[in-house]
Amino acid sequence: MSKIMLQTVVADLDRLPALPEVVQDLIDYLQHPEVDVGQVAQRITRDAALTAKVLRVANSSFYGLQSQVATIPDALAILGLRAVSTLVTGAAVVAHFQTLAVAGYDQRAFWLHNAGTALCARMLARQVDANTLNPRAGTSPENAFTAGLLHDIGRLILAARFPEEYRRVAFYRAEHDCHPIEAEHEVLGFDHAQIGAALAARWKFPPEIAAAIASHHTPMDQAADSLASLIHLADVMAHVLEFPGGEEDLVPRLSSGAWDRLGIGWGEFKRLLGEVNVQRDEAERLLN
Amino acid sequence: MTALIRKIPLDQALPGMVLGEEVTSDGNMLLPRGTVISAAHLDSLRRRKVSEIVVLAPSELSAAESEEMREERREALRGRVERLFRRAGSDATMQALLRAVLEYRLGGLE
Repeated sequence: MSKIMLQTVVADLDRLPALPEVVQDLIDYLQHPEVDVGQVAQRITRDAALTAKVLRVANSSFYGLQSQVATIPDALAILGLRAVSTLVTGAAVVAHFQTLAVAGYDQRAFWLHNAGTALCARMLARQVDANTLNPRAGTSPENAFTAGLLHDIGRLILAARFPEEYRRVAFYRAEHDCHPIEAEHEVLGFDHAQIGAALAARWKFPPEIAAAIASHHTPMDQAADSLASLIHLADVMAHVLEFPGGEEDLVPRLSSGAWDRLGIGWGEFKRLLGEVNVQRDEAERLLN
Repeated sequence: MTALIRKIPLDQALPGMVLGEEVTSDGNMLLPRGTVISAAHLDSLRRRKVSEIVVLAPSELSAAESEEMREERREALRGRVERLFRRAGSDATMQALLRAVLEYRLGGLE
């Protein structure tokens, strides 16, 4: 059987259904160093579905606002431009991929893991912010949430576009009871993080989110204050909390370097597990 | 600990129940408080014409039972966590993570 190359998968990304134009346009616009709130509001309101999504996010328990937000300019003013944009584009990308039909692949389990990782990432980001004197925008709870939601997207792309290769990876993993990424390396010679990184570049995700997707298994490849270490630990936490769980699940190997960088103590870690666990229903709600 | 006790007719007593008060007959103690009643005890009490005994109330019994069930659940949880960590090896960070996760998961049972 001939082996596919990473380049084959990357070239194929162009054949994925394109993001809705409004969403791609918004993502592109947000790359500008100077972003105008009026411009963003205008771009969002061009799409009724996107508008509804922003208002839903703004009025969700994520922010715990006292009063309901009714318009896009209000949402942007109250929640902040970057926060809303990151959450919205994340939600739009997930909604987009949920329409992808993948035969014989448990999409629900896939998204449950990613939503669980997003909840863990948000919780970790808040904790890291609280422990730091100068919180950074790159590791904001919103960025962390979206990166968590998309961190394994490469795996879904492989399953959807190269089902035969995906099946060989799954077979090898089951046969050796190894970590999925080890099976990818053995069978393919590359992994889902590399596919995700290519998609993030192609679709122009914010650079810190792209880096976190690329390096969530190899966080030491990125700078100490990057989002990669945080998503790496959030992924581990999600497996510990059994998002999605199952007999075959394995906790990924935690990098001691990433752990040290985040500066979270074991006692703090146990408390965070409990705090994510009480909101686990939210992961289900995210997917509906 | 103050045990909840109740008086029951001897013919309702079953092996495994625990005496909440000593059993006496004509001023002599036959069985001390705390005895786990056996079938032989019941025969002996019947022969001595004891008509009622005092046993620990069912809530006390179920507390003893649920301690056993808690231990079973602890074992099941420990097994589950160890399965999730079956590829962790001897790496120090993974071992520390395993300890924290066990403490977290088992702590939830208390």
